[in-house]
Amino acid sequence: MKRIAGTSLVALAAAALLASLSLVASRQAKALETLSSLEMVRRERSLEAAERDELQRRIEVLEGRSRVVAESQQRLGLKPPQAGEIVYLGGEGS
Amino acid sequence: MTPRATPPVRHAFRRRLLLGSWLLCGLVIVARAVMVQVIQGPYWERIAAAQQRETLEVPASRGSILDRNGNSLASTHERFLVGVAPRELREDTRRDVTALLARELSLDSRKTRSLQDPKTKWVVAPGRFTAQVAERLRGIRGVHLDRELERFYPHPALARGVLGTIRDGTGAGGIEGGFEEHLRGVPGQEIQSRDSGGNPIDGQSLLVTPPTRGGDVVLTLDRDLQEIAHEALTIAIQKTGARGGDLIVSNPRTGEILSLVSIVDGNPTALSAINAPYEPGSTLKPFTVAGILLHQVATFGDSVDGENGRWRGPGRTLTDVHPYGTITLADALRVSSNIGVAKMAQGLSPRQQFEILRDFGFGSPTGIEIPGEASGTLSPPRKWSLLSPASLAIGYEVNVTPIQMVMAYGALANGGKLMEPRLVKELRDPQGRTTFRSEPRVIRQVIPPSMAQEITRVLVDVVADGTGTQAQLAAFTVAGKSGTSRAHSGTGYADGYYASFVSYFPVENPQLVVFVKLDRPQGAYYGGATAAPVTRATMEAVLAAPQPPIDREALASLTRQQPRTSPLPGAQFVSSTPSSPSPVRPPRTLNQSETGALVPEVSGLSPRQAVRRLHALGFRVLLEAPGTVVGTRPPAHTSLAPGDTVRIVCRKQGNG
Repeated sequence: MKRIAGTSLVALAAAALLASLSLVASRQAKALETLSSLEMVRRERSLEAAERDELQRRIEVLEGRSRVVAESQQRLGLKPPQAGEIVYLGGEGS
Repeated sequence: MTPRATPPVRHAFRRRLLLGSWLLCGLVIVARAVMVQVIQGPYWERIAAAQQRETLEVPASRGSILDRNGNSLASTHERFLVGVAPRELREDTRRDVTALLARELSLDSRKTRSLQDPKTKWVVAPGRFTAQVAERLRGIRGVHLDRELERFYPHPALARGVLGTIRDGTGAGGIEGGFEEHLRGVPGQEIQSRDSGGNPIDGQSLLVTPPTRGGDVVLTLDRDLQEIAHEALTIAIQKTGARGGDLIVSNPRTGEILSLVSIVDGNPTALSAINAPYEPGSTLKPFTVAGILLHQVATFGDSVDGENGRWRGPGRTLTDVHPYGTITLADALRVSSNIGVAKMAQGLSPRQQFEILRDFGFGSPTGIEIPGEASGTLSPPRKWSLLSPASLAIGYEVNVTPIQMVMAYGALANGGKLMEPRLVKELRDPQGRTTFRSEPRVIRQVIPPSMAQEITRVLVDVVADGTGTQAQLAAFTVAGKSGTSRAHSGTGYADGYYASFVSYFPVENPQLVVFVKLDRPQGAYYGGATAAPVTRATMEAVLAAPQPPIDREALASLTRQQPRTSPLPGAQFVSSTPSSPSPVRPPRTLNQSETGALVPEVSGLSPRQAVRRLHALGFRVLLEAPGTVVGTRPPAHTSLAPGDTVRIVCRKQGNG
């Protein structure tokens, strides 16, 4: 009886050890997986931010005075008005 | 159950010795384990951690520098350095990967060939690449990406002196240096796992502390105005062959600097407007005159002998470009007579002369938020020589910076109130919340408003028919003063001159002060001939800008108030000398003999169409009020010379 009880105890202990090791390994694997997803999200975010910055920069360049003046001159034949050619219309209707 | 057989008791001593030895060995092992695990544990843990993990600093993104409208002048972008280990590339995909790398990284044929050679250890792609490019290359064996943050200036030549630069990751000079603490942010920390070879394991990094981005700095500069000023100064330097120059535009009411450009020997990163004092010459005369008026030494109507252009004063001989007889103080300022101003200034005590210049801000830093501002030189009277009073009166023996000059003229434009210059409008935290907003600050009331207005009237005449006619604007009245002074090098006077012009407009309610200085222009070197046209070009471009930082409503009301044939109502500085030109611009009469063109019939047209038609014929146009055009004054078919003024008469809509 004593021998059987001892063997069961050893088997139980071995099973418990195996289970806890499996749990640790599974948690570790899950943590690594989460880390990897986090890194991917971070990369995507950084990519989107880079695209946003690039678009903003392009908008600023396109709206910039140097580009507008040059393009309007080239495409429409316009030129920046001289002071004498500018009329400020104040009040209603302006 | 059979009883267990008792082993024979043989060699008992040997067995015990063996058992004892085993036990001893076990004890030694356990003791060593305790030593390693418990006593030396922390030490070995550190060693192991250092081998398997590395704590890295994650750099923080530097805050942006923005103009007053939120346009970026400096920002930080994520960029990637790309290195390739050709021998790590897989043979079956080498050709495809090489083609991809050559396309994405724009590699030349030599680099591409080296990628195809498995013996090559390492190839670095030239340049830095965007996150998009890096993403397309990520995961390819043999391709290594190194992330870094790059400071980016969208307009490389614009305001670079003001912005400063980054050296070794730290701001140097300008706003970058001055606001380093605010801009730099707080770096984060990351733990990276490494394999047995010490190489980082991809995807096994843990961000312990995320980096905190730096705050933003919003400047008072206007990007468009900065561009206008830069362009105007660059063209002027090219045209005149000058070595460099400075151009500043500011708002006299608030002290805001709207644009600030310095170019020295073609270098746009200079900041001579802040840190390079110079002798101002005649642009200082209005402040001497302010002292004369303030201490009641003379009035604008008082006269002095102009000595026909040559006067031996105390310690030095002064000359004028044009000889004058008796000349009023107003005329002396208008025509920039050295003799007239210096003789009048003799009535000031050295203390008074020193104090008025000091009160206008000369000789001390203005406090602009850029490191390295020079204070200029204004010696106290105890250090003066015999010739100092006369020299100072006409802008010599004193060194000023362009920014001091702008603020001093701003005081004249602002009813005598000297303002503190403002270059930083706001500071924002990383979340975009405003943590500091600068407010206009009056340093002192230097002269009474009425006196500032009196001086302004004479400065209007300087532009109307004095030395600054080339700064005139068709629709608005400009006040200004030219200056021409000997250029200096480190040891003394150099060949050549500084030509400068400082002005403000519209005089009825000044909105802008414009300072222009050219360093040693070739050929014509007078400030009125070289710097004044730059002023006009700048003002014209500002008026034509889509969203200039000026009050257009106020300008519109001024346009409606015109025409005004005299620069300002009440400008009554009549010269007592018939030979000298009147400081008051005579009303421009519509001279019938100047047969330039006939006034066209514009009745029924919209004001805009009428204005265009009149402008096309070279007339100056004044619009009384918006509405339907019913005629002109003088009427249609009158013969006028180009430049004459035609007033458009309108009837308000809905009034019948």
